[in-house]
Amino acid sequence: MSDILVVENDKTHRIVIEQIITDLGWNVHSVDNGQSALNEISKNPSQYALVIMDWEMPGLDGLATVRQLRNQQMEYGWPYIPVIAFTGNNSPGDKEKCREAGMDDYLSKEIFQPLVKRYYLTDKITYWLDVATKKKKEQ
Amino acid sequence: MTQDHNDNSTELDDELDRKALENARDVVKKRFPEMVKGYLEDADKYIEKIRQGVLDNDAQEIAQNAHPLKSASFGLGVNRVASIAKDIEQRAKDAIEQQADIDDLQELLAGLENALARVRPRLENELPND
Repeated sequence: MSDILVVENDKTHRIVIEQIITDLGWNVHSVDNGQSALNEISKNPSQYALVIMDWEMPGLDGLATVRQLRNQQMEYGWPYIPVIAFTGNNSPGDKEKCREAGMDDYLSKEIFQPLVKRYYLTDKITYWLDVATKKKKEQ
Repeated sequence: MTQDHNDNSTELDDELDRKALENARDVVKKRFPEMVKGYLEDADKYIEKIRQGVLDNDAQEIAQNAHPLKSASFGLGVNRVASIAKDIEQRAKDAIEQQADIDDLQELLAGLENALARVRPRLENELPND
């Protein structure tokens, strides 16, 4: 079974997202910085069905990490993994910055609080897992 | 940051939004104590880095640490800490954008430390005794 990789250096958000993924019935593995995420994926590029990545992290931030990941996937022929930005940034143009860097989707950290928005988060994760599963079958 | 200290109930509501905290407890279930402990550990770390950023006039460092403190605090309903962290982040981002020195943040930083000190025992009360 594929796993979901969470890249998040803030413990509060990491625990919330881990629990939501666990509740969906998926295995979750977490790292707290971009370089560790790249190392983790390079060990077994087909292990992860989805990556949920913080944008603002010390060192390699989320945008730089996903750029490197996309380059490595091209260079080494690794399977494509959808990456969702998980961020507190919500200024105009932020979604576009995420997409330009190679993120597939954008998830605001503010959404986990009210119940209705938490369902939105769950829906989004479920959607991308579905996309990843279909892509895997095609490969 | 002036506050009417006679209006204790309003002040307490502003410190900790119970509804948001219970929402967070509902999401993470058994991991709630771990999350509260993690929040307090991270908050200390972020504030220390903001303090160092103020000393070094390093707006990037200030913004990078005020930002997660703001969003984690809003997530748990620690609203006054979140609100001050938001102000600090904005001031730091303005300084970055204008390529200017960051304005004096000492007062906001003191307010931030005070807000966390006030809410800490209330959050620790949420932890099981062990």
